[in-house]
Amino acid sequence: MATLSKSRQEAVIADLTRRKSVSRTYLRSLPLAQKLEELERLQENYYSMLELREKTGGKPIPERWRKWRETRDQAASTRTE
Amino acid sequence: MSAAQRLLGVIEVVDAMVAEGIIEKYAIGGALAATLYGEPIATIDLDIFFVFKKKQNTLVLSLDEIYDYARKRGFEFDHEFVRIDSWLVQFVESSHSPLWTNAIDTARMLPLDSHTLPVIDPEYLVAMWLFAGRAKDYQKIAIFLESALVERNRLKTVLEDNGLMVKWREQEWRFGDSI
Repeated sequence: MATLSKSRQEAVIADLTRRKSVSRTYLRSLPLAQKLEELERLQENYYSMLELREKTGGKPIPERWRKWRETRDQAASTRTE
Repeated sequence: MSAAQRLLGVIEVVDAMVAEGIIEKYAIGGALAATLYGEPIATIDLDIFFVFKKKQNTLVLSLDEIYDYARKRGFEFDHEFVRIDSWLVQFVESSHSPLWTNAIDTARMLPLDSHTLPVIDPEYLVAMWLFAGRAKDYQKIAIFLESALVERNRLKTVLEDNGLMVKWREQEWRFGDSI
């Protein structure tokens, strides 16, 4: 496996740190309504990650997150009825 | 329906509990409050810190009034959560803790659409996370300090007023910052 030189590693870390900071500053600057949209997106992404982990033989989805999924799906189906 | 409308749907229900004399006062806390002040933090629930209108005289606190209300309105619940629309809502009775009641009393009113939400202020959120003392709570404190979301002098006052300064000094190495 190829390894990065120390200076290259430091450059990659510095770039990731900068990008993380830009992203966090952007998220903090959003109006509340948009932050809530971003929160729901984050929850969906996080759940997908847990689902993938389970499907690939990793830890099962925590019970609390299953409840969350069930609640979201139930609310969505009630709205479309 | 937007995410804001979904949240306001929950607030409407809690406000109705206030109007019906079940709850005296309340404020949003936890990761949702952190999201509203800062950046989104993955959470499954919405924490409502509240005080009952009628004081309970029993040794063991009962949330039956909340559950009865939920039942009448057709909301499902279990021991931990009441399901209101797309949110799992956790009602946290706060009368036994001066830290929590102070947090409710000093909550900020944040505007959302044409409504306002009572949200525990950043300094009290930090104090409550410090009190809870789990790894995820310390992470949130670090984020709040790093993002300059707390007013440091006020945080110091809140910690002193609530007897948390010693714990802060013990744990501040975790936050990479000091006050």
